Amino acid sequence: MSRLTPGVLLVVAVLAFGQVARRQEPLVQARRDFHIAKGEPLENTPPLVAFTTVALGGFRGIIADLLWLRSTQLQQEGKYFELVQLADWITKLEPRFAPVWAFHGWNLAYNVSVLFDDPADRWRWVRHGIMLLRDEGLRYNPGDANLYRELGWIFQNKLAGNADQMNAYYKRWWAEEMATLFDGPRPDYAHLTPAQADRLRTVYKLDPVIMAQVDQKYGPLDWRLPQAHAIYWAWRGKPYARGFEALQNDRMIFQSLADAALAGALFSNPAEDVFIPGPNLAIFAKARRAYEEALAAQPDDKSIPAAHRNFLKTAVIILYTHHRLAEARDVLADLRQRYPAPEFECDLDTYVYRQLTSFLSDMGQREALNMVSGALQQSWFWLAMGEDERAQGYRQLAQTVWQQYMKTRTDPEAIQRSGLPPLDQLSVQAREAVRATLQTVAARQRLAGQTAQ
Amino acid sequence: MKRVWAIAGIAVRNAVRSRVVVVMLGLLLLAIVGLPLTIKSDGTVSGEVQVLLRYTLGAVTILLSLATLWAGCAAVAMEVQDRQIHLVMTKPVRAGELWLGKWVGLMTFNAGLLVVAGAVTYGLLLWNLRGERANPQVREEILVARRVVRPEPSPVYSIPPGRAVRFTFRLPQTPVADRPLILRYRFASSLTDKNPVACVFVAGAPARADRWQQQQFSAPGGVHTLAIPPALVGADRTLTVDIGNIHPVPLTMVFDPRDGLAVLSYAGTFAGNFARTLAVVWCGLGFFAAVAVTMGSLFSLPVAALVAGEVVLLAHIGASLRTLAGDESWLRGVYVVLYWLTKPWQMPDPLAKLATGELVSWGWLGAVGLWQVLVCGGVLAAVGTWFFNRRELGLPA
Repeated sequence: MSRLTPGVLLVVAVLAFGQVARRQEPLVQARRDFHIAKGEPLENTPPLVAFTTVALGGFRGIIADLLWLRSTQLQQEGKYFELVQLADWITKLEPRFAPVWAFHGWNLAYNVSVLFDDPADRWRWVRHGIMLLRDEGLRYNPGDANLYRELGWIFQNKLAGNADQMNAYYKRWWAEEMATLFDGPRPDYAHLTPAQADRLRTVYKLDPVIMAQVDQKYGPLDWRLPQAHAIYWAWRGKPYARGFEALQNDRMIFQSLADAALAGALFSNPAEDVFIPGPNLAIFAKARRAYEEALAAQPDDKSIPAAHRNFLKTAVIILYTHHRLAEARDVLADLRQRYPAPEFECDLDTYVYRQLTSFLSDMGQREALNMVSGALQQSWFWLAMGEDERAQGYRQLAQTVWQQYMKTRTDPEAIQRSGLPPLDQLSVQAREAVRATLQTVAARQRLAGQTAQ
Repeated sequence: MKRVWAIAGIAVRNAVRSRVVVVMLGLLLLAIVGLPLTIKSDGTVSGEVQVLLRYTLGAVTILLSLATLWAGCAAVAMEVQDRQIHLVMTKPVRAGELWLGKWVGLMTFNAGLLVVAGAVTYGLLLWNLRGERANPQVREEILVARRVVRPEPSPVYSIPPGRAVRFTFRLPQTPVADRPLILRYRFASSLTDKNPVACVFVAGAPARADRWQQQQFSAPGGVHTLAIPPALVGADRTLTVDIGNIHPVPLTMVFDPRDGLAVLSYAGTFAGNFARTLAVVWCGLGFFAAVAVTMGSLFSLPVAALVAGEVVLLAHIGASLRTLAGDESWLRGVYVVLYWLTKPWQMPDPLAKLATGELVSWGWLGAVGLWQVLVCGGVLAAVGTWFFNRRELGLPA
């Protein structure tokens, strides 16, 4: 080897490195453009992750397998205290392999949580699952639509849905956490303090700018409830979703929106210990539109029309019980037109009565009395809570059931045998029953201010 | 024996002089203090305590194992390589005495480090549990030594809808009066959903008028515990527990015969359990030291370290091979053979027992000491000595 050779080789190596460095940025940009998950270079990587991903090389897989074996074994033995750490290590060994994050997030939130009886224990594990996906998984895989959907699914199914018996507890805890971030159902986007915005971004990974966009398109949403968060994460995954992923994303948005319309507004009165997720009437129109868009986009999908029909049927009842009679009539007309059926060929009062009593082939006196009394108590309760519109809806419902039931009992003998007491009398009883349950002076005063309707 | 102690003393002095002791102490303290700061627990105080015990003592065990392997292999192999062995072997010292001297030196070194590491960990644990953090759950479930008693074999371990099944536990000793017995149970449900199942537990001899009863809603698959008054145990130290399936939706509860049911009874203090755990770890290190010194007597340092590392790795993952042996893949046969080959020297795991408040008994400690140190160590000593006697030490460079 001549003396010049090392120098020449060094120059060639430097030139080659220069060329590689020059091609690196366009390559990353191309990955970004094609929405490839691994396109975004890892930034601010913790030393441990940097070390494991570079230094361990191919041995990472073996170590991950061994840790996975241990994790499975401990879970089978009912020893859970190490699972969070093991999940953390396994995912950090393969940080750019999104399915591993998806599996472990789901495992903690679903498989481990249900092994506990205490709701606080369950909620802790659901939160571990959320945090693993949200705080870590998406950090390393910011372009993975599937991971956004997995996170959204925990909010849509585990928290907002009712498959888990403890779902009410999760909703309550989540709402309490959100209440520490903003007052009311959503942040005041224009007047967020830097501290509030920072906490939303850093702790909950919620970007107020994107929240405002989501609210503008689908809202006003109640961000204390999980449906809004399911929509948010599906929305965040939208730019990266392709093909079937895009369809799944859209489904998550319109399903959560429909759910938010039916139970996505929180009525909370801490003094009375009242926490009731109820309908978000302000987004009914947007939920209907979202269904219509989905129907138009997926004309061959059989499940969407069925879901849409059920949504509209429930919407009629909810609008009716909230005294939105014109909107309820409009939805019923829509049902009649889109899904012709004998059950829709009647006036609104009759339809609501039939829907509410359909579970009883022949409504007896006791059932009718219970239903009327229940609706009246609901009416008085919401009056005491200051929700006049809802109170009026329940009053309307009680009146309809009473009238429909008594319609068939005209002769005095039938009235005496199986009739109902006068509505006013039932209303006074209902008011007394509600008064006994109220805890605050303000609520009692509101109730006292109302006369028997 | 005097010669053995002399060789052991030289080994310890060498370790101190070469600052191995200081470096190891530094590493151990770093692991003990640093690990709890970086490890994530499940978010509960009891989870933190379990992680602290499991991971800090686990890290101590690993560090000492690695140090033992290296030092053990080097103890003889390096002396052969540097020809210092000639100074020893030309004296009236037998190969067996050399082997034993090196082993005793290593174990003295390990004992010292283990005592320091154990004391620091224990202190850290007490500091961690100051004030309100030492809640009753931690005290009764983790900071205790409880004996695990399985039920007597039962013809049935499944409970059909509306039925009850009786299980009998024979306790080895009369339970302590002010310490409740803990019934630990786990079952599977014939329904696919994971919603809690309604069941009822009735404890005490069937003839007693004061039988204890408790209704529970327990999630299938989870580990549940129930405190039972110790007074319900009969004079013959028998506890009868009837479990009734009263879930409104018909389903069958199935208990795993191996670990579905157990009664945990108080058997001693946590401090005693902690000390016995360290002793079991020390016995394990004794086995490693024996492997390492034997390999160092047979091979050069790199080969000895590689072979000893392989043996120790197999000893550690031996128990996991059982899981793989249950697999239906074509490799199943390999795993089964490996499992049975490694079974005699698979490492005991006292830390798992310590972290879950289970008793590390004197009997178990004795059995581990007898098997790992005396039997396995003795065989290894014999093999090492036999080969070393036949090894040509005066080879030209």
